Amino acid sequence: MSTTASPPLGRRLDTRAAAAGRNYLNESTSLRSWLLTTDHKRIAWLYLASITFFFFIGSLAALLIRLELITPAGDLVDSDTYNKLFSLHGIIMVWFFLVPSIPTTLGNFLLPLMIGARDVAFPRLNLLSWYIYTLGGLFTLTATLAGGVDTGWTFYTPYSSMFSNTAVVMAATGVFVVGFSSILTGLNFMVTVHKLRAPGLTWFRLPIMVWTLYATSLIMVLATPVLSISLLLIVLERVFGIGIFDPALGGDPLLFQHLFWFYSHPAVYIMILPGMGVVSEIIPCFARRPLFGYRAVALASLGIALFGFLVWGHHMFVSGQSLYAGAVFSLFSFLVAVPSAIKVFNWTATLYQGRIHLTGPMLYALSFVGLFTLGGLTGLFLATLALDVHLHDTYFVTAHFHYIMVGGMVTAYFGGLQFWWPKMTGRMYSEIWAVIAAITLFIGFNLTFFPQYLLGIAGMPRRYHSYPEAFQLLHVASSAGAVLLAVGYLLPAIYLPASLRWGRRVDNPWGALGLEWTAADTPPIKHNFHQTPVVTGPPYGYRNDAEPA
Amino acid sequence: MTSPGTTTPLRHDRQLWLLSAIFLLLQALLLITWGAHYVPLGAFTPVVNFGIAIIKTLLVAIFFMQLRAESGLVRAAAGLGGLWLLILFTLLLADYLTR
Amino acid sequence: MSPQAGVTIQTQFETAAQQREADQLGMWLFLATEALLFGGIFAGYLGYRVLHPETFAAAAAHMKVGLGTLNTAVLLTSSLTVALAHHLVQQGRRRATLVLLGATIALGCAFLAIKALEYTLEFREGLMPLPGLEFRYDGPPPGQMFFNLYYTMTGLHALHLTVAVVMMAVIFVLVWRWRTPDRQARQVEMAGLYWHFVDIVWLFVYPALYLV
Ligand code: HEM
Ligand SMILES: [Cu+2]
Repeated sequence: MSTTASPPLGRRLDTRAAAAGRNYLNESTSLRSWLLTTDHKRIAWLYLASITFFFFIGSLAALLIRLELITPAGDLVDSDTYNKLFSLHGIIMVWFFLVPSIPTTLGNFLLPLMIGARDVAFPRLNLLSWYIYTLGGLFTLTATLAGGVDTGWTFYTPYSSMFSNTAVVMAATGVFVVGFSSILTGLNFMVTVHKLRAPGLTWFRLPIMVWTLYATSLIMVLATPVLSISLLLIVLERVFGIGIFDPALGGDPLLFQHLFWFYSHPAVYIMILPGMGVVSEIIPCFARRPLFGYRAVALASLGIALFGFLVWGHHMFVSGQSLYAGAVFSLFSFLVAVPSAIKVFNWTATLYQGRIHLTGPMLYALSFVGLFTLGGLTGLFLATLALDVHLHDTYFVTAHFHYIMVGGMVTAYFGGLQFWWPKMTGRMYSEIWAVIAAITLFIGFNLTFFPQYLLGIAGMPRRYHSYPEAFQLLHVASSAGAVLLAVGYLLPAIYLPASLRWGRRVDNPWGALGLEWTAADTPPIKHNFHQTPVVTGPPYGYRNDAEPA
Repeated sequence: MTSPGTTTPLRHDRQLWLLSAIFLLLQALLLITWGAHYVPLGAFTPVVNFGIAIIKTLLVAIFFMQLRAESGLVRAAAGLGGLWLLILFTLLLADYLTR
Repeated sequence: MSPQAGVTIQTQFETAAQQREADQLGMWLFLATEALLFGGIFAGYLGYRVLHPETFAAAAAHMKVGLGTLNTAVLLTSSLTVALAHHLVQQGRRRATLVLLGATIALGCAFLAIKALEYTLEFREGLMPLPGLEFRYDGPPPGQMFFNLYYTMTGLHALHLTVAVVMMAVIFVLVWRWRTPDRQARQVEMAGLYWHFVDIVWLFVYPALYLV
């Protein structure tokens, strides 16, 4: 991004900070200064800590699930416990890890930096979002301690509202609360992008990361309230007996599915769009080429956000919605794949004739592209009405969404964390270990989830704790892969913190462009810039002959 | 006159007059819906009722909530909710009307 | 933070106009989320009404149309007082603003009182399908669904109105103190937007439940 400093424009803030070696991390260090901070960069760290905690809990549940599935008999845990395990896993991973993952950590840190702003539009609201997130997390942990919940992450009625005798109310409250955190973050980001862009930073000069965060925010703002009301209705039915979904009263349990998926299909795009943003930053940097088809990628992000709202019924093909509705939703589901495909083509085309540097972050980004493509294509299988009758509620679906959400989003999250780690900390981590971790993750992931496609096609239903012997080989492979995958995730948890102490001090180790690299100190000062940057050209001005430092 | 608004509101007396006129219009519309309740309109009942509700909403939003003085961006934000409700209702009815 | 045109501009903004526009945008986006919150339950209403049109009409005959209409008139009036308050506070007319805010709060309470009266009457007639209460409605089952929706929708709305009344009371105190008139003008405006929104929700609850 070409920028020039502009003395006259913009308010000047704290020019002495850099001279004194001050930055947002060391500027004050008390616990209080962290817990009451309104600095978007510090809030990003607060989220990073809480999200890592929940990722750990969710992974623990997953590990138990995979352990149970090593043998065909249900011997490690009984069926009730098993139901609670996959419910806990789903609820935590979706709402307490994936939905907030990239937006609240990297997004919070980078959004103002990338648009040349001093903070988000509503800094105190930003902090409040984190407290709300924490409160929601406490409810969910309480639900777990109170014996857990066994409805699955989908809370389907009438089971959740009338029959389950587990801690449904507590768990639903947790998700209800955390929803507001996501709404407020989305609202904050949208206003920030609209109102706080630096002079000269027009929409088509924004990095793709900003476009995708904007699209994500749009979904958070418009979809989450519908989830809130549907959870509220479940609570109402359980606590006050006001049965909105009760078939005996003429209620329609499918209504819940409609409302739930009106949120949750768009929400799967909350869980992939920011990953697409991260990858769109990493690939041009390490291919040393401008992003191919920038405008198409930018607009595809908004296209995904919009079309994502028109397809929710593809989760209900076999549930009893009308055949006509099924056909409409099937058609739209094919359309929604188009903007995703555009992006994949453009990432690939960016590599062409690029000068490719296989750094750690780049390996994560390339894994993302491959795994996301496989996940997206199998989504098209599922969107085919007739085929879904066979594949619905099998391991094929499990594999589909794990390829996108774990292979895609979680991989992008780790890649992005390492790409911007030097910016956030001023330290370089061990690149060799990053390369090892990325490769371990890629192999471990495929070993875990590819067998699940095969299991699904062979007819293994999801959410069962025992299975016929014929499926054992594939299940064992999957469990073995999970161990490798866990290693892939644990490695960064060691070498990243280690870098804080032993890492070499760096400024811009990748030779990356973008306001966050070129116009701000490493680590940035409290209000980001010594003076408001002025942008004069498009992003991704990478050149083939320039080496990363 | 200190107005934080982006555009200058109408002059004082005209603004008061306008708000009151809109108020009377709203109450008149209320009387019409109420009256229509006692007239057998058949399938048109919901059309009339919700049509009037939408008109009332527009009046409140444009004049009482001052959308007419806001920027296009803010107006778009105001329209966003309505548009998304339309998506929700339409696709939901695609199922319920064809069961 | 630097003072400009009487309002404090926060660090992240350059000008007062930019800050105001950001606040305004944020508030309207928030109202959009609220609209979708209510939209979820309206969607349910819509689906069920399409599935059971006659039963819904029969059940709706038990609604107190007169009280519902009166309440609509009350809320519309409160919207006027809020709009006037916003207009006058911008002129720096503290006394008049206080009177109008007071009227708004009173009208809001009146609405809640009338709503409570309705609930009481329905309770007496045995039209409250709560556990432990006798439900004496003798129509077919989707009729009870109508009442479930009725209590959910009006209850959620009343909850929002209660929040709005409390908010107005706080604003009333702030205007009473009149520390920074420019800020108070913004506060009246923001609280006003929320108030109008709650009013608009009722504009749809009313025909949906009373005028079936
Ligand atoms: C390329 C576009 C996509 C299409 C056409 C598609 C299609 C589908 C279909 C038809 C199903 C329902 C399968 C069934 O239950 O029988 C499904 C399930 C699912 N998809 Fe996708 N999908 C796409 C992208 C995504 C993305 C980007 C994500 C997440 C980031 C995702 C996450 C999920 C999840 C979580 C489920 C399972 C939900 C559950 O029942 O628990 N999908 N997908
Ligand atoms: Cu979907």
